[in-house]
Amino acid sequence: MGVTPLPRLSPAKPGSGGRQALSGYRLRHLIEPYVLLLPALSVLLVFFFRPALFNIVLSFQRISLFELGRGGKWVGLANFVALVQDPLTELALRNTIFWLTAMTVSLRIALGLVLALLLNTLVIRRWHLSGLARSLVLIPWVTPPVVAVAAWQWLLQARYGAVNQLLVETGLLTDGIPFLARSSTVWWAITAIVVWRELPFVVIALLASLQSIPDEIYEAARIDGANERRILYHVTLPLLRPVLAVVTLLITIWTFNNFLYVWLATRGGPGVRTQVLATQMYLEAFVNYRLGYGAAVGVLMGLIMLVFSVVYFNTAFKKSLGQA
Amino acid sequence: MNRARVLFCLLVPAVVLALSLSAAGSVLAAAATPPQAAAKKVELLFRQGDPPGEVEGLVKAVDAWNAAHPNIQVKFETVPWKDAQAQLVREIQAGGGPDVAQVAFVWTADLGKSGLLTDLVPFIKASPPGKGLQDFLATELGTVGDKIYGLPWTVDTATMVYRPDLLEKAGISRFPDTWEDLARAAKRLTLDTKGSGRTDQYGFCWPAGSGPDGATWFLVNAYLWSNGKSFMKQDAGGKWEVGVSPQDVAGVMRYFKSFFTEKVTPESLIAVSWEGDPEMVGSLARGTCAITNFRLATFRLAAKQSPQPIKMTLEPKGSVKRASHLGGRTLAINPNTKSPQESWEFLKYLASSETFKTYNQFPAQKALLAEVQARLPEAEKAYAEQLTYGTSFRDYIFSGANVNGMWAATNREFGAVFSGQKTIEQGGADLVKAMNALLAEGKK
Repeated sequence: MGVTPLPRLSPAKPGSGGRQALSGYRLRHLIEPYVLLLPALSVLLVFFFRPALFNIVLSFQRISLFELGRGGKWVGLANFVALVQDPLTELALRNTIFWLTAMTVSLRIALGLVLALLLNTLVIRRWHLSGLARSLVLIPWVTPPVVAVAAWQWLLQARYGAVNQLLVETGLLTDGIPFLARSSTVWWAITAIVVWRELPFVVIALLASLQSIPDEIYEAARIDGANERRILYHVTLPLLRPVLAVVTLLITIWTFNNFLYVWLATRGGPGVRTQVLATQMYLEAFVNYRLGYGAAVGVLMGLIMLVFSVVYFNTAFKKSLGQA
Repeated sequence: MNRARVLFCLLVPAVVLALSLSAAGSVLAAAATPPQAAAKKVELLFRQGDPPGEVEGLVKAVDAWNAAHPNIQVKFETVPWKDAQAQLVREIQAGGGPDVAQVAFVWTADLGKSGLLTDLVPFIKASPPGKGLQDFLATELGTVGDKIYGLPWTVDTATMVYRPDLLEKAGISRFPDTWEDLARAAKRLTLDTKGSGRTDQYGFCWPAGSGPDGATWFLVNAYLWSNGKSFMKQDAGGKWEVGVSPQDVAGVMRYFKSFFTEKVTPESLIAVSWEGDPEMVGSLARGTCAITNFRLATFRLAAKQSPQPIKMTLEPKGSVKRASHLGGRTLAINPNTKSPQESWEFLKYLASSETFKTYNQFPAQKALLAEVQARLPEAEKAYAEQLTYGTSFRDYIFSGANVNGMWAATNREFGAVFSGQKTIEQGGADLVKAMNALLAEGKK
């Protein structure tokens, strides 16, 4: 027991081993963090940065799917000009920003907060239902997205779906609504699928944050005469704000470039009603074979995501630095 | 002793030990192997795209090959059609991919032109398949110049499929012969059979989804071709141009949209792209649809589910002729294969009568086609006749336009019209504009 002694150094002599040992030790300490980071950095470089760079290079070319081996023709900003002029881009951007992202994120945050507050109530804790409640909440999240979409397609089916059968049997409707086939309802249907499948993450994140708020703070508020409503608005929500901000930003980033739900549910249809940037990118690259143009869509998405990411990092790390 | 020396001292013996063990293993294995089995063993990868339920017979054929050819073993792989082309293109360009691949008719020339498939001409000359190349159908679809990149393997089309009992109940004594007759008959077959105030039997159903792989494309082409039109045609000088006007397309859109506006087709089918969707396959069985449009494989699936008999019949006639698409698959060899000769031998086997004894598809060879047609049950005889009216996508392929893009644009614009996002006139104009853009892109 005791402090490990430092290595004995020989007296310094010009060109001697002692000075060399010291500089060797310093050099090792200097490069050691980078060597330890090297495996992770290599993975990032190979699987993230290189493909992203390749995508940017492709976006400046006219190149088809069949020409990857040969290379395409350099066309400068032509793909981006065409992208901006394409009326489908505006539609896809609007759908992505409003319906796919803003709508589903708002609903998830609102519902997630309500569910988290419900799961954190005294009643649930008193009856030892927290574990069960959490497990039930997680069910949508453990369902593979493909299965979730298929199940919802059946639920929403106009003639045989459970949702329509319920609405017709209860007299709310005289005939079933083909939710996924009608322009006026298709986005609500996709929103329902996305919210159902992705809500658990928000619930669990907010619940964890709620459970980390010390009970003493609530007791102090009650002693000061605050009712439950005031406690919610003046104690709970302010304390949840940092987590809410981070969760909102994260799910915004994850949802903005989501392809799966729209593609599986509607393929961007009916017509182009549910076309989003991700499906537009897929169609241009792999159906129309315009790999360069598809890459340009990807670059556009990447630039928008960059803005969100900068906001996220500023929010998340500013908070943690502030706490430190 | 520093770290490097320790590592060296551990590593070298480990490497020496590993090398010794593997050498010893090889010696032992060679000693255990009888001399004749030490001959070169080839393993081929064969990839196809049809779902498992449709290829049981093909799997049997491949197993039979493996049993008879211990030195050329074939591994069977399935990649669904919707992903197949993109995956094949990526893999071949990356130096990999299957040795033998099932490729759609419409992809073969594009893949061949891009150097992604092997030219089969030397193989065909050295060891002709079947009864010779002249016996094969639609060989021009895989031919680019004097090279052949795919051997036509199977042909398929779609026919009308219906419940004879429902037509009889509605007083329709024979299946409608023209497109107008079909619309009228479908209206008579749309009924509230239970008196609930809601339609529970629809006259005509088809997957009218807007996805790039939807089935509207096939019906639209059948309608156009039967009325003497085509999306692409050559002018007198041999130059390719879009063969339909916005008014022509609007006419087709008006026809098919009328099924939705008159509620002869359920609106929910605007969200269904695939004929194999349970809503489609089960519709005849449940009696919720009286007439549909299916390929043979889907017909057989539906027939298994239906308690009442269902029948195939010819596509309606237009003002010029009767028509339907002639689709099909070719077999192609990957230029990256390390065993081209063995791949060719296996390819020839797949195209032989042996395979078609168990593989219930229609061979793209005249001699074999006659054999298969003779074995067809009564309910499927119309399919064989419909094949004679089949029109391939030859013109579209040779025009240079991307056929997949044409398919996607057609479903998209028709879907927009069906769902009310665009007027018929707008949809017609936009589709012709899209076709022109695809043609121009193909010429670049």
